[in-house]
Amino acid sequence: MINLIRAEWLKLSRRPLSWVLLSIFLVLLAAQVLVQFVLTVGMPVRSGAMSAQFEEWRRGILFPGIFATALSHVNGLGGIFAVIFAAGAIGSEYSWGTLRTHLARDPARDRYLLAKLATIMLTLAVATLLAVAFASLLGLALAPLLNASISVTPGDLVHLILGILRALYVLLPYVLLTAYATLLTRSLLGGLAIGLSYIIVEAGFGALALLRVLGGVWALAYNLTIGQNINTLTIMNRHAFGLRPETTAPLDLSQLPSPLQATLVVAVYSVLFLVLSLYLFRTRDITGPG
Amino acid sequence: MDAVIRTEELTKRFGDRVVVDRINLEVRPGEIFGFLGPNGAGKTTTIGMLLGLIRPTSGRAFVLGYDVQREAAAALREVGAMIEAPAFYPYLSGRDNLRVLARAAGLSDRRVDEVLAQVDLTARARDRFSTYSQGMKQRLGIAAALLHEPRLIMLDEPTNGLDPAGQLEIRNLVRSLSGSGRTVFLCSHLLHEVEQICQRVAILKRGRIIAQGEVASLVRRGVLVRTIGARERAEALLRSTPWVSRISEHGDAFLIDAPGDRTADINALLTAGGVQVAEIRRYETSLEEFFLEVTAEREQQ
Repeated sequence: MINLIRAEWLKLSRRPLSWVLLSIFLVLLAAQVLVQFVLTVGMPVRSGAMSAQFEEWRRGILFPGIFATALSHVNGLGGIFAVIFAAGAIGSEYSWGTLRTHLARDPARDRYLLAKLATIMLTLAVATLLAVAFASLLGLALAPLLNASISVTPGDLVHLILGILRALYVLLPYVLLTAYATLLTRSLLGGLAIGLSYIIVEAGFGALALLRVLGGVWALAYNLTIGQNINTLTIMNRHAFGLRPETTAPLDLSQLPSPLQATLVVAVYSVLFLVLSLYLFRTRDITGPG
Repeated sequence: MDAVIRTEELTKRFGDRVVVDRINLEVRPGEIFGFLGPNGAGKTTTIGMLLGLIRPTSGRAFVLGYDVQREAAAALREVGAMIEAPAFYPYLSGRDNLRVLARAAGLSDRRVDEVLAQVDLTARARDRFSTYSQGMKQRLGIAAALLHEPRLIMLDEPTNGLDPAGQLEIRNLVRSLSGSGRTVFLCSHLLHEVEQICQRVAILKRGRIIAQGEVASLVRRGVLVRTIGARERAEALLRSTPWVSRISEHGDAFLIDAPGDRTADINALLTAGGVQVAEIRRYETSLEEFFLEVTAEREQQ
């Protein structure tokens, strides 16, 4: 298994797509931090709700709130990047025919797929660490301009470790859904389309949120969607670094699933997509590139 | 020693379409075995089943004594394969592509350099795979197949897209592999190529094996005789001789299975029997002619 992960790492770390995605991701993170900075220093003194919003943005670019901003970026736009990355890592093996080259040498398909998924998550972990480090550098540069102190306590570092693990856990069901869709369609584009469509339907349109308004079973169903449970986990990450998104956004924390439920529901989805992927990969014929 | 490859009634259907139909193959240790057939005959699907990539609908396949369905890891441990076009990562160099395979198999980078040298790719090893010529890609595919020093090498159309010089180069490489004690299972639709390097062949058509055996036994040698009339008399005279084993019609002539040095004897026999001979010469069919003959027979049936 370790040998397979080393082989996968060599492939993914040398692939131009990995570096292009990482670069765009970091540029967008920098843009977000700089926009918050400009809004914080460039606007006149405010009061009331506006003041709270601006204070939230200010806290988000100072320590330790900058960690929450980086992790929020990982779980926001990062989800889209993770879907593209996972679809590329699995789908290209079909289009280039390299899957056949590998499996003709080592027929243990479960092990191959698990190593590939583990390497994708490992790469996402490295990207998350880079995002946190990059955001921290930006925070270090901006703090003196805002006359703020740079203070990180040991407690913040513990929260940071937990926050990174939580952020990766949030990405897991999207990566596994994309993996399943890519294996199902045997195509990079198929996996990409299904993975991104799910994110867009869930987050972009807010269509699923309408279920909550219907109440009863519909509200229960909504509370079992990936997105709703992931909201709990991402808000935990913001709270851990002193940010309070509920004070500036129409967010009713009482409507969110509990952390335990969120953790379990994400685990159930992840296991479901993993089992489906393994079953599909194990039972299907591997034919030529296309 | 047992057969290196053995199949028992191996069959594959895709929906209603039978792609491989109850084939029984036997490949012996150390030989270069040719697996022939026109495009779409089912060769690649058969290789896919031998490598555990495609599940047979029925029948069994044994590689190096192991059942591929049940003991795939053991069966394929000492098998190297190149299936159709060599498939590698276009953004990686040839060397890094082999390093990916070597890492997965727990092999060292030194072994990578050895096989690159073996296929004469050292000079271009650090160039991207996407910049390689077709011949270099084929050689890299063979290098990948050799990486873990397999006992059995399966090559599917290894000379596809190569110019005559490239084809000769690959043929020499295959011969040298066989010379080092390995068994080579060579899939091709190029009959002259197989005739030159294989000891035994199987011919596949529409998923069925229509002939299998030593190349020497499939390539027919004898004497061709064309007479001026008196065909029945000529045939009766020829059948009366002990060294004529078979007579068949070949257009308006006879094809006689007899030693080539009997040409003068045949001529004397027929002339003495009152049959005028218009043409008499040694005759040898190529594998290609044999292939066309047996496939035509199948069509008629």
